[in-house]
Amino acid sequence: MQIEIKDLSYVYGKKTPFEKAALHGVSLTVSEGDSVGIIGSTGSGKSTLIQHLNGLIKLQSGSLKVFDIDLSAKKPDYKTLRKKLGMLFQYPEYQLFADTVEADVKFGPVNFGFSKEDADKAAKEAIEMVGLDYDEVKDRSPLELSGGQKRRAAIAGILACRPEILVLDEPTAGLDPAGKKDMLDLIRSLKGSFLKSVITVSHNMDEIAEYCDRVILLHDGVLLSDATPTELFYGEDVEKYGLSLPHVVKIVKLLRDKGVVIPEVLNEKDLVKELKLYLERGRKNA
Amino acid sequence: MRDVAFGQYYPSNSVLHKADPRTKLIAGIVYIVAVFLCDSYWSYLACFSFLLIACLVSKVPLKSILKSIKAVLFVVLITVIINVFCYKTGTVLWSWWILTVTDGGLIFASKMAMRLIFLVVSTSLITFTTTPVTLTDGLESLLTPLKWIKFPVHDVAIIMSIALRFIPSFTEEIDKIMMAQKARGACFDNGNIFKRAKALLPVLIPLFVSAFRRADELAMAMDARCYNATDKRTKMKRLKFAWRDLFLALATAVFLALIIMLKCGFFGLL
Amino acid sequence: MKNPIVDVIDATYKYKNHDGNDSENGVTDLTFSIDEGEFVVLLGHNGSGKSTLAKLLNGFLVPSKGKVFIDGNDTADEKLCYVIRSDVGMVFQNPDNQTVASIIEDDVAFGPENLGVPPEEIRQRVDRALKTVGMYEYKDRTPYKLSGGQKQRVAIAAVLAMQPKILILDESTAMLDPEGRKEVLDTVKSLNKENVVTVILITHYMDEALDADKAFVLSRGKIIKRGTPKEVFSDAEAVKEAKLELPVATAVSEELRKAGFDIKPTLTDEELAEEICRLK
Repeated sequence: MQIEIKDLSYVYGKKTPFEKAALHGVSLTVSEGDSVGIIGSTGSGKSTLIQHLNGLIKLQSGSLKVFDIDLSAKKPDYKTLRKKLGMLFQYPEYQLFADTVEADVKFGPVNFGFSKEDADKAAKEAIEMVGLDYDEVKDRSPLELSGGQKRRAAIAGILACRPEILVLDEPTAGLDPAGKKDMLDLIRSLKGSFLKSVITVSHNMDEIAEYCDRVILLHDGVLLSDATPTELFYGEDVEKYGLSLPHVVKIVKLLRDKGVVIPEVLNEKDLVKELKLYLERGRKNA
Repeated sequence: MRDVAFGQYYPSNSVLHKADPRTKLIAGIVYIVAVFLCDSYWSYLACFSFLLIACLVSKVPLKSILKSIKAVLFVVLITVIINVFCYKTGTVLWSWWILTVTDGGLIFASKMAMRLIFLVVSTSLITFTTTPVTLTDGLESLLTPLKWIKFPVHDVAIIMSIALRFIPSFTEEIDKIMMAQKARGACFDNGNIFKRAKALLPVLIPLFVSAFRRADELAMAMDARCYNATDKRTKMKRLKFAWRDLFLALATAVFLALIIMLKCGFFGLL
Repeated sequence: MKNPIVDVIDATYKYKNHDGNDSENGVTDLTFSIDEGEFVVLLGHNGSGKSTLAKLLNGFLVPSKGKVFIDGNDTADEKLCYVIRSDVGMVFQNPDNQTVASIIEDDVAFGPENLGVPPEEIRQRVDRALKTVGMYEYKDRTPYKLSGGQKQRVAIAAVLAMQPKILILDESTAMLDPEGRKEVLDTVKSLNKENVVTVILITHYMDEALDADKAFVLSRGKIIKRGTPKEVFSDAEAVKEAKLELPVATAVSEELRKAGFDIKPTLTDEELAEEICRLK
């Protein structure tokens, strides 16, 4: 078990007039190899939940264990935790600060006590992993890069620490379609090396349906569902919670309403395949 | 998720809250002048009473007002200590090594302390009863005559109002960047002052970059909305004086007259 | 016949590189016109020249070659600069960097104040604009605490208070979540329907063009496809070249058509479902 959350609750501005509950009794586990998606409308508690995972928010009630680090302990080992659990915030390109891309990517490894050689090696490897040309970008200022490149450099800064879990908050926000596709392909390609599991927070249901094995639905700080995308999108009425259905799912549901029954698919490719099969069968019968 | 109540506005519907910001600003300036004209105990008592009445009228809890004194208590103490030891007229009460305390020094120091406290409380009272936005409007209006000497009053007012508008955005941004860097192993609360200052670079640089980006975009948005299109800019909300302003102005004028009379030795009290 | 409200004739604008030569970015030889009351969508990926085009339309940039006319006024005429800017309202991408005031109604008043509109009239315009976008109840609050979609609606109100003839949204939905995008799109569409303004929506989301009167596809500074949404969406070649992404329903119908099924191009999920039922 990599992450074990039990009965986690959190209240902002405790004992002030602005008191606001953000999480209420959330329990879940993440095992090695999982690709977890977290969904929920704005204010559902997604950000609060993921900020707990590497100790950026102090535990108020419940228990939280990441790897073997108990976050309810008096002085949890934050350093090891943050090294092993990489977190990429929304618009991560805004955190770039060093003179050169290489120095920026090395910021994490150096903080986590990598030796100079190890940090150099990790930086080079990470820059190449995100699809940037190491020799071309390493001495350039991160500010000179294009939007998509900046985001890649920011991801490299996390990967260089060799995390085992990667948490991504809206990794495709603000990118154009081509940039989005590249980013999702990149994230998919990362899993397998040192990286064991990925947790993605997203508003884009199409992406969640296509790229995650498991989806967690939060609403008003409560965990409402923890299921496979098929179970969630075909079983639950997510629109009730201010979310949209993935287009593919919506099309299948519309067809079923009209008496056309095709399997519960989650991506465009499978939908086309199933529709072809269905229409060909119809042709033969006719 | 920080709820930043910047400035220290205390919402209420007292007469002072409703008064025109210009009246409050002018009354504040008059009060400060009066405080510096004070020399007799009677005049200090007058200043104190005037301020106490104002505080009570404002309905701002005395606790909050005392807090504003607490913030400058250190400065007051230093001033008192320096004055006690440096002011050497009058009878010597106590002496040791190069340190001498005289009764004149004690009196002078306590007067200085009172002045400082009056200053702080009176200015806080204005910020307690006026929102920063209204205060900016008031300042702009008061500074209008400076237009005659080509002072860009309106631009200065816009700059102040934009600064106020962006304070919450920047506090939120600092929060975000700090979290992102913490996630990369940065540590902000270890080591000596130089180490800490250096540790803040990864926060400050992105913050500045973002400030420039915001400024750029905001300038474009302002241009698109015809900023500087005409010299005859109008305002939707015009400040209006009301009866309460007249009352406030009169009270302040009476107070100033009283202080001046005390100073010049009317009443035969000095 | 009435003149078009936007008339772009052979317009070119190129940014300069560090060495002083023309760079790749910018637009080349654009010619098109937009009639009053139309809802036009400009599609293109980042760097396709769509933001340059937006700046040409409100006179921020003046074409190095060719002409841009807004309601008959030449954008190259410096005397008309503010006339054009008040005729062409612009809403930008980042909802956080467009407000100047700490109170919503003060921010909406900023434009008309700049134009020297009398105070009583500003009050009316501000109230009307905020009601139009459904943000009137928020008028005394601070914009800082609003959601992204609400902030953009306030930005739209701020532009409407200047009573523009054209409303340009320069990627104003790019940073919003799906709910926010829908809010903004619905607001803009109803404004257009009620004949308040001509709308030019610049975006990289093709599904935002579904209800448009016209759509233009920009790539490398040129319009590579123009027409009704249906015409544009069925040109797979152009969509690919412009690095755009077809809505799922259109992509699926396209695949089925390629596989030899007699299916019409479909734009929405509902249309696709109907077409499949027709074929079965």
